[in-house]
Amino acid sequence: MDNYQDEPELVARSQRGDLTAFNRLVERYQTSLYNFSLRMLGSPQAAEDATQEAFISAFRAVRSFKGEAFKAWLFRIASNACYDELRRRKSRAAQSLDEPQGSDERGLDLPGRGLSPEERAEQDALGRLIQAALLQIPADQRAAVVLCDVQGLDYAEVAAAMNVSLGTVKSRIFRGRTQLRRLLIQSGGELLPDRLRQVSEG
Amino acid sequence: MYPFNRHERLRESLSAHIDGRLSEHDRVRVESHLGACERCRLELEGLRAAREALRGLPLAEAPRSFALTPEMTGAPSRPVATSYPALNAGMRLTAAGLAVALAVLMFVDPNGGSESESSRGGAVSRMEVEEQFSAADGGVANADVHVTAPDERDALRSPSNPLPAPAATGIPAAGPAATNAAESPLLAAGADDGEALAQTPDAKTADELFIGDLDDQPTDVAHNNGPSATAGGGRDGVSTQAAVEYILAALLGSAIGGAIALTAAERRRWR
Repeated sequence: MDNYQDEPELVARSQRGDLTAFNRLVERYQTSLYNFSLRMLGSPQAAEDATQEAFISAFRAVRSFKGEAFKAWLFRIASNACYDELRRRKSRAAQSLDEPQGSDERGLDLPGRGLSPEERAEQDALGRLIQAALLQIPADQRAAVVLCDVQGLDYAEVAAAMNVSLGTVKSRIFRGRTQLRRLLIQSGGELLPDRLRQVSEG
Repeated sequence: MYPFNRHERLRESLSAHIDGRLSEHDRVRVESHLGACERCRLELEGLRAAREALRGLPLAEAPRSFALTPEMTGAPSRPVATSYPALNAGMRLTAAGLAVALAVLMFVDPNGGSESESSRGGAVSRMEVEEQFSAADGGVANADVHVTAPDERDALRSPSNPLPAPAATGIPAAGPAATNAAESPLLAAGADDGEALAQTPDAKTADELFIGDLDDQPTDVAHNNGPSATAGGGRDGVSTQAAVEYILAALLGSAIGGAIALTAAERRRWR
């Protein structure tokens, strides 16, 4: 487990323009931000671009960081980078509204350690199903459930990352999970976990 | 059976309930509702399953390092010269001030006349105009001065004799200009070619004529022209004093500019 006790010092040095210190923070959070962007955008290439853009924006803005949770602050910047990309996609309107936008196969080939090939294939298929469902729910709800359930942030951190109230976070998480469950049940019952399948049958 | 509004309100709390994010009061109310509402119990299970599905998503490895390079940040690699733009600006201002002071020192007559090398022709024309004024006042010999001055101008313009130009431009634009130009040490030192030397007698003639003419001038005219016609050595002293003043002013300006720049740079550094 990473020791984050040096984080305030690294942040302070970053605020003085120390790029080496900031890159220590990049190294610490790059997997989290990349996965968040991947779930938000569904495309590894777009996620890579958004993650890089977020870190660049964060370095430029780090002087304005006032000492709240740095992790939540970084996620807020990553959220903005993802929203920018989603807006660009919408303005391009190059893809069908019926298709999950920006998803590709590479994004769902995620590691499944200790799994048999069959289990691995099943996990990949389920992962694609969940990702496709995620991309169909509104971006605000998607961001809330990804931050909470995939990234493991608590409600206060999600509120800080999204710059909204706790009540709004509760509502977005509830609606996001509800929509996700409905979409998963619609899309393929045999891949769903037993509990979800039971609920759909019920 | 719960009223619809209350059911909806409690239903929206189900997600926070499975995350343990409800207050004790709300938790009791939701659990009480769940005991009586099968629909909400099913929904609770569905929400929990969705949460587990999301939590079960594997994390992807970062495809590469996202560490930033100086180029990515848009910032330069922080050489001293670009780290302190205020210092740069101050230095530029100081350099500009020094250049202006030097230009003033070189081309402006400390006694009040201001002639630049590029306006030499214009200065001579003014000299001619003033001489014409004198001629209009009735001095017969001034006509000779009027004739002689263009000769002197030609000598000054001669490309083979570049040195007389600053000397000529450093004297007052009045009739005795020719005299001063001929007597100037600078001019004498630089006038080593035949053409320039050939002009010297004309200049002296003009001087003599003019001085002779001065005797015929009304007192006030003689008073006005006298000092500038005869105070060549005194003017050298004035020029030296003015030069020292200009140099001191330039140094003072440089010191002030440098101090401002350094202060600004320090403030920026520690901000």
